[in-house]
Amino acid sequence: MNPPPSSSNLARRRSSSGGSAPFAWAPFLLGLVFPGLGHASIGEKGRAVRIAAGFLLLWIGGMLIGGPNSVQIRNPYYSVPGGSARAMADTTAEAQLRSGARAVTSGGSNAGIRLWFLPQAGAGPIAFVTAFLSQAMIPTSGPDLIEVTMPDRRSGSIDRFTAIGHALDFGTLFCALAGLMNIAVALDAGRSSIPTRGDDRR
Amino acid sequence: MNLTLLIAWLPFRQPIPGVQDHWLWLLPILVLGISMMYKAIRTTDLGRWPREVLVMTGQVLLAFAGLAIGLFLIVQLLVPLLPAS
Repeated sequence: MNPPPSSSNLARRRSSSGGSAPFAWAPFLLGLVFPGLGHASIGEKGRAVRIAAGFLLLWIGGMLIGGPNSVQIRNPYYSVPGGSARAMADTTAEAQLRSGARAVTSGGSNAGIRLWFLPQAGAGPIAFVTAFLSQAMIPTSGPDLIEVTMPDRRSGSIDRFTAIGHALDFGTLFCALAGLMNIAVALDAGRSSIPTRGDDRR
Repeated sequence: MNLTLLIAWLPFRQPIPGVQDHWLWLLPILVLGISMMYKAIRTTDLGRWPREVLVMTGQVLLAFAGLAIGLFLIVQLLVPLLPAS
């Protein structure tokens, strides 16, 4: 007895017969969970391996180039006005809570979502796990901190291995493009219309 | 690149040393990664995938070089010819 056709196979069959193919959500979502998994789920394992290889080149490359600063969910405190106040609040949170000085930080600037993380989030859980590990890897105290002047001209301290300049730019860009490409790849897994493949001139 | 810095480099903990001066060499790697993913879903015959990846990488890099040359000529040759006032 033949197994029931999956939605992606059905879509491909309808596409090849000239009908409109419904979008296959399961391969799309699997593709977002891990790059290439969507294509592997519809039987295209060769493509899945190549997709994963390209993704890993970009993602690991970005992490090697920029270090843990390449993937961060929130803007680092040293990059926003008032960030030094927030950093100080973080280090002495308990004392400030006792003295009621929390308004100093909450009224200042909340380091919002880093916009570069939005395309990076296209990598799915990998992006969030990497961001969490990166945050855990950056020390908040200890000998690896150096004194710097913050954007609001107060003195503050940051990790001495903080990426700046082209290292930060390219590390962030590599991971952002990996995430964006993965969204395109996951959409392809959902569409899964093989007859249209190879037509690069479109 | 300073070899001592490279030996002392802690991958994934520190940014790679020397990027500030040699960032242009990252461009081929970036384009290669994009080409690998793009051609993985566009190529009909996966046996031709490596060749198509290399061709696309070369094309994109040539386009970048062309844009760079064009901008160089505009900035260095055409813009100085414009009247100052």
